[in-house]
Amino acid sequence: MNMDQMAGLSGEWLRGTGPECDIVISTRLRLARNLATFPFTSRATPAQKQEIESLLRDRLTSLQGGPALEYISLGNLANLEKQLLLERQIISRELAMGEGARGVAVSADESVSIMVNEEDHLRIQVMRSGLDLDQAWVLTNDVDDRIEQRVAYAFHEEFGYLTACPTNVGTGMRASVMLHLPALEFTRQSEQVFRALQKINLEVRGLYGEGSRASGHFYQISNQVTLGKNEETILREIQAVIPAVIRYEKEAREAWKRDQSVGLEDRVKRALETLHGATMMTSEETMELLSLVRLGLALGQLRGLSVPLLNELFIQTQPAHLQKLAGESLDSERRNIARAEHLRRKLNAAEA
Amino acid sequence: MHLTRIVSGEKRHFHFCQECVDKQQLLKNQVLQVTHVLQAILGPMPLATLTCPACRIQFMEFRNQGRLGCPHDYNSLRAGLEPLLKRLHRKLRHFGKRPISQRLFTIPPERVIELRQNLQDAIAAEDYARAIDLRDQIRLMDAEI
Ligand SMILES: [Zn+2]
Ligand SMILES: [Zn+2]
Repeated sequence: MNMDQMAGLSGEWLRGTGPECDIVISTRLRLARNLATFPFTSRATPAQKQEIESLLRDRLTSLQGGPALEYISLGNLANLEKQLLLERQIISRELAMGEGARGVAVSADESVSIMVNEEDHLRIQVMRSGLDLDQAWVLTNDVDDRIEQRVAYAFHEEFGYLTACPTNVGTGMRASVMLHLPALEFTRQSEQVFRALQKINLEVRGLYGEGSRASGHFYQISNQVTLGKNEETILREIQAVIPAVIRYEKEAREAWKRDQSVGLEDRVKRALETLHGATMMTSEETMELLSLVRLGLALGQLRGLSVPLLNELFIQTQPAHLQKLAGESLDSERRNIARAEHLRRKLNAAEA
Repeated sequence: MHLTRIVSGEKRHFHFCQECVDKQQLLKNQVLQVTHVLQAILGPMPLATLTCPACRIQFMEFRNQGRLGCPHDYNSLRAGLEPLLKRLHRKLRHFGKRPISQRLFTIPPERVIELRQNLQDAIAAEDYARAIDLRDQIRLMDAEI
């Protein structure tokens, strides 16, 4: 896989065409799996981690059927490239920051990625555009079946799939849906909605997962419980609440449009003008402004732009992407200049 | 077989005669089984003393770092884990997917983990003859699993 090329392209799951894609960005399923005959990653010696990596690398790149997977070893990968994989959500922060033998097997369209020697020996991840839990599960389940034919998983009659952290034991499954909820946030209703979700054991987090504040009004809703419920039940419980959240967001958008249509239009226009005209732009400001433009697009206030283009800009304006596209390493001031240039060029091309 | 153990400051001595040991098939998996038998005799051990015979993690280590040492911990540290699992998930029994190919482990997988730890010891002690022997045993078992 050519990582210089990767930076200029969008992963399949960002194509922005899935169900409810004006509000739901993507659906992600993840399964935690471990080998039965090795200590968990954090307790494995460097030599054992190497053994695990070479065994899994061999199995994952020779699975029968399904998309071909290419293995990228992180042990000797440059920091910039790790950051690039992280920004594309192909790997987690934990894997990027980790040490020793570890890596990821990824499909060409980036919709399937399997991390090796993360917190668990295997983290199987499938991404879909829009709200698509069912299809995501079909794919994930299939990949899991094909891996299971080649390795002995740690499985317990009572506790299910055994994981390094007891929060994941059982199904090992975490299903998350990423939503864009600017109107709920602007109208100060998001807290209320999130509290209601937490009461039914669903978790709400910002864009880049654990502990991070939501930037650009992107939120992930995911299940917390993994033991005692089967995969279908877990998926059904999430599937049941998403339409309600979408409805709240739509109502908030409509109410906002009705009550302060000029004010909203003005904010969207200014956001777009700033994106066009700035000489320097931080990553946070870009997120904030693109988020407003995305909202304006959904409300029919903009012409010429598209959801896939905005999705692409969200990714490409992040630090590692900018540096890959520039072909050199840039300090933060030069990144801010490159970011502004990139935005201007892409937006002008789209509107021409 | 003789076992001595200090239980709350008091020295206790256990004696298993060969016959009983054989009867209970204790020898099949010596270290692991003895721990289980001891636990059965001594009753529930204080959580602080729970240790996994395969990866040697202690329950308190897990409490401090939040990560378990190996899959077998769900058995060996069970007494400490169950209240936690109950709090996290409210249930203690897995429902859902299971591996399709039911693997019948003739060798318990935790035995392989234990041997891997012994191999590390042998390497650290520069006992290369033992290391080679252990490595070969692990390879054979791994192939079977
Ligand atoms: Zn006897
Ligand atoms: Zn263990």
